[in-house]
Amino acid sequence: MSSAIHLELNNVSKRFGGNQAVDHVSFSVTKPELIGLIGPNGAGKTTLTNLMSGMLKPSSGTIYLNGRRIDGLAPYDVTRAGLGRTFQITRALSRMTVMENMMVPGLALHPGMQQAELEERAHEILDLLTIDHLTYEYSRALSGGQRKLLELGRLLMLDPAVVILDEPFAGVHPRLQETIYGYIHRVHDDGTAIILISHDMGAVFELSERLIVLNYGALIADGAPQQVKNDPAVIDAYLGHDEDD
Amino acid sequence: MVIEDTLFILWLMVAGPLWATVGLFVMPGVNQDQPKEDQISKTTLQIAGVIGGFALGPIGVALLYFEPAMIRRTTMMVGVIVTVFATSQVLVRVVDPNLPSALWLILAGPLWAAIAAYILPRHYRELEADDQNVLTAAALGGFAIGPLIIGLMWKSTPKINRDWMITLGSLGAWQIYTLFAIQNPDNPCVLAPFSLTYLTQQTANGVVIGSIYSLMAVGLTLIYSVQGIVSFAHGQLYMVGGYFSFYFLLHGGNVLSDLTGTEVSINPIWGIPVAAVIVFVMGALFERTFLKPMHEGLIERAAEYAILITFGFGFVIEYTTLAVAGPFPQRTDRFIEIRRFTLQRTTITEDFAFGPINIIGDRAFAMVVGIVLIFALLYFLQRTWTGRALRATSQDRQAAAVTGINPTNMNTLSFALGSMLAAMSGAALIPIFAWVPWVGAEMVGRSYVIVVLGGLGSVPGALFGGIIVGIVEALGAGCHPDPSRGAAYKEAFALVIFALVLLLKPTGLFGREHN
Amino acid sequence: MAVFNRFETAIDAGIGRRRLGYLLLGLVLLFFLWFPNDASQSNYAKTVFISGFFYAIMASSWALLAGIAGQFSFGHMAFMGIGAYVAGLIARDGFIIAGLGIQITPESISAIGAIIVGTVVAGLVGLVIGWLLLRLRAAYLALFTIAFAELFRIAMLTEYDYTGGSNGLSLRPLIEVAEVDTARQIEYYLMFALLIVCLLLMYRVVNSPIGMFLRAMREDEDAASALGVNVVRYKILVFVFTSMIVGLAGAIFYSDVGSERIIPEQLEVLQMSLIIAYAVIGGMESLIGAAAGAFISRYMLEAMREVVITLPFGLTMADGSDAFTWETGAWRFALFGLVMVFTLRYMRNGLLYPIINWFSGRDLVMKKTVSKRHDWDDDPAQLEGRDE
Repeated sequence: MSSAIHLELNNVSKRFGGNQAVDHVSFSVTKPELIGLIGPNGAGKTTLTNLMSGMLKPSSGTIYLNGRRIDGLAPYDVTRAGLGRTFQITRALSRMTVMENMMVPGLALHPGMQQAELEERAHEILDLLTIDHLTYEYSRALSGGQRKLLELGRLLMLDPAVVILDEPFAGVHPRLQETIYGYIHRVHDDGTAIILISHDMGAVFELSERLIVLNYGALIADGAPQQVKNDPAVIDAYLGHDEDD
Repeated sequence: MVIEDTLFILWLMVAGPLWATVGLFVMPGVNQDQPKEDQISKTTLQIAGVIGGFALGPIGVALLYFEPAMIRRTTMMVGVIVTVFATSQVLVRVVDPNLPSALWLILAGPLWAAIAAYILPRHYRELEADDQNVLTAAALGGFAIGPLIIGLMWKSTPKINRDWMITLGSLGAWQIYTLFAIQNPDNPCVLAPFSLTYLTQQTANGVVIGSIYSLMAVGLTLIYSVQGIVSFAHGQLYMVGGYFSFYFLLHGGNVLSDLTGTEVSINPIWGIPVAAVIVFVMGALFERTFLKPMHEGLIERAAEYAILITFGFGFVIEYTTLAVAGPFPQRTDRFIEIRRFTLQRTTITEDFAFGPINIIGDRAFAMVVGIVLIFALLYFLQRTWTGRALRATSQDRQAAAVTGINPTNMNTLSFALGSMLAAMSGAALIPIFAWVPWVGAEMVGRSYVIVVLGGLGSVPGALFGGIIVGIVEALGAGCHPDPSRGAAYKEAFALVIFALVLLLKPTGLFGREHN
Repeated sequence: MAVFNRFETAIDAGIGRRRLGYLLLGLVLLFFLWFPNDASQSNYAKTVFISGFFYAIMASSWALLAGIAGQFSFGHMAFMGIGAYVAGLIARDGFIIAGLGIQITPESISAIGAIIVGTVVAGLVGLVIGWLLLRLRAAYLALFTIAFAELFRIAMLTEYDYTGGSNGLSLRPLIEVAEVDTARQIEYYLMFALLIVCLLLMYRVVNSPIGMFLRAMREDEDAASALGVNVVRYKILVFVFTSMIVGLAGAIFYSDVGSERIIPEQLEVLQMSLIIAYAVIGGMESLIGAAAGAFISRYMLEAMREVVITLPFGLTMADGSDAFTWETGAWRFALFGLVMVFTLRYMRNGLLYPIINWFSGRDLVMKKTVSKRHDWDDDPAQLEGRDE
């Protein structure tokens, strides 16, 4: 959807008290890639997501999106700059209808646009996600999987350049998983960069064109899936972690 | 009653050393249940035991024994208070009252606070230093010592712990006091040597009433720590506790008089357990009916519901009491016949005399009641299975549930117990204050101040907060240049602190930090 | 005026009911317009109605702040008080800002001018408080606003040299008509007009995208922010807006329209609790619900003042006295509190919600759209992800 993509993280760190949650992470995204972000539990994936989306301020380091510095911006400004995200635990606006859930980002990002036009788009997206029959239902009445879909749908209303999908497959029915696959391909084909965080290794390896691996907050590998798979540091991180458990 | 000098000195000579010895031997026992890394060195404990026993007798020993973490804080606070008072006394004599320095202090304090609060946290983040509490420390420090704080924190970026905060906060208080002293040199709080007596008198009043405040606030904090909700009915439960005591004494006295044929009146101390039992049951019933469904997830928007439903509960209690008791002030008999305890004037030199200090008898008695109840509660929380279960639930609900604690019962118990503490405070104060149905609304503001100041959910925080608020109110009211205004603004002093704490450090002095 | 959900009004399902709803609203409006012309009604009844309108403004604006935007403020009465006190002080003492060359003497300012100043000051204070509250949520926000309201009340009570202390402060009368009946008539229409204007203004906000953003913020502040909603701006905005509305209402009501003086007692937390109770009983997520709740509760409380219930009906005891008499006057607020508590527990959206919901025709909209279902819609395996 957007043409130019340039997301750049330089030495981003975050400390909580004495705990280094994210440790000097640098990488950049310059084309509409599908990137898998993986790592053992507690590796700092969610913290990194929160840093990129403005929910947390980095202790040090900078983040640029399309030439604009976005670290330290409020989450809504980051969203306006073109970075959208979903949450690990779905956060549907529960006492609002599905349509209103779609229109919040629509109207917030495109105040000048005709409401009818936005509604038209919302209908299209809901149709794609197979939840169009729930358009006027309150979102609290939706099942867990349907809420996931709704979250993904809301993202599309933002016209983002980069989206971060935090565990989109967790606790989702296999049939809906297919729908989400279709959605990811569609978003990718539209020219949006996707950062996919998931514990479902099968899905990550199947979908991603590039893998970024975190361990103890530090970036330990960044490259094509096959290459990363055989990286001794990565194998060590996963196996070593299992022993800790 | 007057405690003669000789009697007092006798007490000091006999009781002080006696309890100090007890403290010396008892205190090392603190370590027995603690894991290795939490142990405090034996010498420290012994010193603390001696000082605590000497100064406060059995109270001091017990306080330190059940809350060993208080040792360091108490030492620090006493040190800071003494230093602050001494230096400001010197400054008042040195600084010319007409000097524009006062103006400088007024203007520069907030200015430097703003500058430091802007610069320092950013600097910490740039250097990747631990920036916890830096904002608060910078604001306090900027206010108290101006640009010095930036110098102090800029170079070495020290980790800001509680000791920093307390020191800086006390420095700020010291500055305000000095400023006040320069502006109002004739004020009784400033005029030395009179000031020492006057301040001690005010502080003593504050401590006395503060212990009851603490009792009430502990109830509030207990509910919060287990259930995660603030009870907005707390003030009304306090009020109704007083009324239950009142009616029990009234009707109980009449019944006894009829039975015996002579005029019998019951000591108000018996009203306390009666109010406690009734309100305990009330609290438990309310929790079972209205809060339990919330914890079971049957109610949407739980946070909002908790505020409104407890608020509504208070509303019902308040207006029911108004309908039953009417708007007329009520009061019970006194606890004890002794009007006041007096510490006689002691003249050391021609210039320097100390005393007399008066404590109203019933207030002193209420303080004793408050302290005894607090210790009973601490004992319950620390040393009984149920108390430990309650604390375990407050720390980690799920883990507690796995170990066989029923969280639903703990919820009910915490609310009932918290409400009961409010009611006991009410029953302990009705012999002292004129009781009207809206007395709770005033009191509850105070207990919010206390729990927020100490940190929501922290029991030691509530204890300290209560004493601090008691002292601040007494000093504020006693030292205000216009006495009638001072009395009227009594609540306002604490509310200002409250607003500042909420804005600067919502977790309070003793609260748990959240990431 | 669109009272119902804007994205559903485009669908014709339930349109009949909505039309019926508007018709009913029109009839209610007509009743209120006619009421003071009924010669059989005393001035006292009109006074009750006037205060009913005032409390309807208070409750519905609180519903906007707490029910729609999710900001649980207990400082609503304080903002009302700021409007009234500032208007009163300006009209009595005037004010001078030397640096800006502003100089207003009591003679040069009219009652309306004083009311406008009061409204603006209430809005400015709302701005500051809204900004301070950005960091606080739920219970902490409630506690802070209680502290603010109490501080304001204590200050008004104590600084009696300026505010008259517990005797209160008289504002400059807005309506200077000597004849009592005519004056009451004008006051009635003025307060009613104010209520309608305030409701229309608030509906305009609620039904604009801003209203939707406010509700999104109430549901989940982080999620709303991640969806591009400028939560800082809207949080402050809603504080300023509601503060100005109640500031205006307070300044007008106490300018001898509903009450001749503002007293600090009006600013107590207890008074605030009445506003909250009105809104809860009427339905705090609906402006019209809260307004109607306030008016009806106010009327009922007033009507119960003198009622004496005697049991058993029509029977007397052997000695000729009634078996049991019960003066509801003393108990009415306690009963009212019970109604509030049970409303909260069992009718969460207020007692008027079923009526409002029926007129909205939501169920018909739903029936029409939920025709296409997938076989996995009801699969329990998906329910794991539910998080409430």
